Amino acid sequence: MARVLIVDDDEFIGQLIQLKVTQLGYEVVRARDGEEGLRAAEAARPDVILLDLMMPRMNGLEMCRKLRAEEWGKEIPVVMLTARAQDRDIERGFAVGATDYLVKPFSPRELQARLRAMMERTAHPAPAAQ
Amino acid sequence: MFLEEAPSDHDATVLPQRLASDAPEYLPVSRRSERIQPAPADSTNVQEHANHIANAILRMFASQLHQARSHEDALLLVVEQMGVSGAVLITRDNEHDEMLLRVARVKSEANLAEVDVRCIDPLLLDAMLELAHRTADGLPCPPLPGLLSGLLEDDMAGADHVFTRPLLLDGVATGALMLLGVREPLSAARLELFNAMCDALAVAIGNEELHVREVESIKANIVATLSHELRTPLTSIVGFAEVLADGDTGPLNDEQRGFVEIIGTSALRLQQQLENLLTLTRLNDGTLSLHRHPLRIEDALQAALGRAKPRAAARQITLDMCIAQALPEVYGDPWAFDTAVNHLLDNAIKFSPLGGSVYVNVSRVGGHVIIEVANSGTYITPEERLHLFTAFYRTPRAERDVVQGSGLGLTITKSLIERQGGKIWVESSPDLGTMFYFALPSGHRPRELRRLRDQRM
Repeated sequence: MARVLIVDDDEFIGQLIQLKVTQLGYEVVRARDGEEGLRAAEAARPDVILLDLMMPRMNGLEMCRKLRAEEWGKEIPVVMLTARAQDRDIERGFAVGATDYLVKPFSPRELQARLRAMMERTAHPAPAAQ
Repeated sequence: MFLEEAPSDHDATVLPQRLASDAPEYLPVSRRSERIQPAPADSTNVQEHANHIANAILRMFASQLHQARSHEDALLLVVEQMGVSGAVLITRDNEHDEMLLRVARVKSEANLAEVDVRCIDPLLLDAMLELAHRTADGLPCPPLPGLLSGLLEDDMAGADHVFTRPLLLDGVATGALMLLGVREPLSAARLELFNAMCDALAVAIGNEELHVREVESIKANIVATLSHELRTPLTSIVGFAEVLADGDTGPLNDEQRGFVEIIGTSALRLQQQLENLLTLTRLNDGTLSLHRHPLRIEDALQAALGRAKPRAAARQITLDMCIAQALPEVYGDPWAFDTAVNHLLDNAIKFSPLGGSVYVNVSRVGGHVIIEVANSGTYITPEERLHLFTAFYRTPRAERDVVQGSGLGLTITKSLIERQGGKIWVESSPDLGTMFYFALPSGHRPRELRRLRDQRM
């Protein structure tokens, strides 16, 4: 079963994303900051990572950079969840190896569509496509 | 210290009746709650009085939240204390980052003094410094430098003695002060008072500029933090409202669906206001960077009209677009273009009468592509047009008819268009309605533009 790692320090947003990801039939792993996210990524080897940028301890940018430095983490698609639309954050995100981004507040439906498209590109079609 | 409440009797820009002719040389300032003692007659205390007045100026600036008021008060104090018929103060206008010229005049009929703002121009200070440089104290005035001659010609008529000082702080001029209508040389005591007031003004204005910069940076910080702290809960509200409305967690009855829609719509409105506030702040502090690409104007406008359709339909307003053939290529930031068009369309719809019409017209005039967003039936008076692009300005009509909005849309639109090398203007007539136009230059890639500009320089 395809697996999605959600890294976000906000509990409610985590729950919201989890709901929509579970609907697609993917397995969900959650982490609440970059350090936890990196450990979870290494242990669970997710197919996609949804990554918040502003988090305590280790932020999303740093986590993404460290992920890309690991042999096992180079190819995992990373979708940044950023609170800023018109910002250097997005450029910085791409610079450290992010694959795509979504601006908060985002539509859960759009998140789902992007995630499904990404899974299809990486040959992990949604098992229970709706 | 800066947040002290200003005295409440500052609304009038006139001084109270001056005292009778046998009044002491220095008149008390009764406009303020604190009274300044008249200068003592014996000259040994001249220094003391000058210090007293200088301190009064510093306190005046420190206790005023409004830059304009402290500058006006100081200017009136100068007129009063020097016993002259008028004075000119040039200082920086922090809102426009240009120099601003204020003139205080004593109106002979009632002996009342009032201040008016004559001009805002970045070159004012240079002109005044040139005058100060060319004229020693008390000498007849040479011909006024070009910029000043039109502004001060009448005030200088009949004045034989000119006293002009740059307001120097650490060797840098932050403003200038000039006395008007001095008919006889100033006494040594008055000259000392004048110099003390100039020094105090220079320090007060220097402090004020530091303070303004500090406030700007605090403001930017607050906005950045707020934006993150507000967006996080908004994400949950918008997201879970959508989840419920989509029936992800089970079917809703009609009433429940209606309420969930209200939550979603209100959250989106909140988000829109937040975006506006954020965009405005970043336009002001220069942290918003635009990237120019070839614009697909027709596609962008079609998309904007598509998004506006539900709002127009809700008020039975028809939307139309007319685009000229073979438009030249225009370079601009797609996000900025979209934002500008959205604000204009949003306004056109909001301020149209029910059942009215809104149209978008794109044409080419010379080297520009002109986009017109117009509605039927709303008239904006010339007076209102003056303030239309000012942040937080709302027309009396918008207030009266309780049209939703924060008064930021047009300010943002103007700034975004100008940042892309364009211009925006508005026309309105009671018969035709209101037409907003904006023009974007065509043809040059940004790099070529830069090269052309460099060649000109």
